[in-house]
Amino acid sequence: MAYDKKIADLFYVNFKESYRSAKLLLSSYHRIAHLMPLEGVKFHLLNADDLEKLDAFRVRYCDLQDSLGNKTFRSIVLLEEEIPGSNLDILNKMEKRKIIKSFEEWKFLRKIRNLFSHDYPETDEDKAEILYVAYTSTMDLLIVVDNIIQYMQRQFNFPIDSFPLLVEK
Amino acid sequence: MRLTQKQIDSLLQATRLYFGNTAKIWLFGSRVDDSKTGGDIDLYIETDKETGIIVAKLQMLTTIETVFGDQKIDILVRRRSHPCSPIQEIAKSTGEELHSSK
Repeated sequence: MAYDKKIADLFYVNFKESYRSAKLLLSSYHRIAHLMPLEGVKFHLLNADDLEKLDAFRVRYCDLQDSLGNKTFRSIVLLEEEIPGSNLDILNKMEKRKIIKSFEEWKFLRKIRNLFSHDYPETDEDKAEILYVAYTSTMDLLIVVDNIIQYMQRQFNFPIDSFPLLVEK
Repeated sequence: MRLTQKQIDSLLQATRLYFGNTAKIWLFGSRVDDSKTGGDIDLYIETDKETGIIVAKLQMLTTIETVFGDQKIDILVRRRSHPCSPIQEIAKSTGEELHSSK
């Protein structure tokens, strides 16, 4: 499929950022595995190193969500010369392309992300549960990145061999 | 209070479904004030449920989306086995408990 070079460059920049965030998230995912499942009663027993790893995981989870939802999805639509429309329109287009499993699943992942920036202070039980729920949904988020790689290779024969798939199937 | 009865009923139904039949829900924040416009929807729930609070919150947010659309909703939850935190005290004392129309 032919494409506009400038928009392709924009996609590449956005996707590179998403991929970088994804690799960092995967690294964090493995680094906190020994703490899971996380329970509130154990929260105050965590050492500074573990707390830092959990913080990094939280930030990277949010960064990847934001990068995909705010930039990369939109640039895919632009590349295919469609009008992006609202966020709802873009998510429906991503579902149609099987980049996201479903609109509902992405919104659920988004809600998990939003819980991290909750306005109210959480109890240790709640903090532990949010982290564990995010941890268990991490692969679903990383699979979205892999889906983009495979889609772009199919549609545009995009030269993205430098982006190995993240999730083993 | 700037919620329709339909919205209130959907909140009550979702609260009982995900937080148990003994759970209660309050609306607090700017939406309580009829003279104001806009604003987030701030909800406070008291429950006897001890675990799975976050999953219950996520499920409730997904369910009430059909009624509230993309409006920003924050849900503050207190387990009745825990003492009230300062923010929970404020939410309960300044908020209005939601009741069914029936």
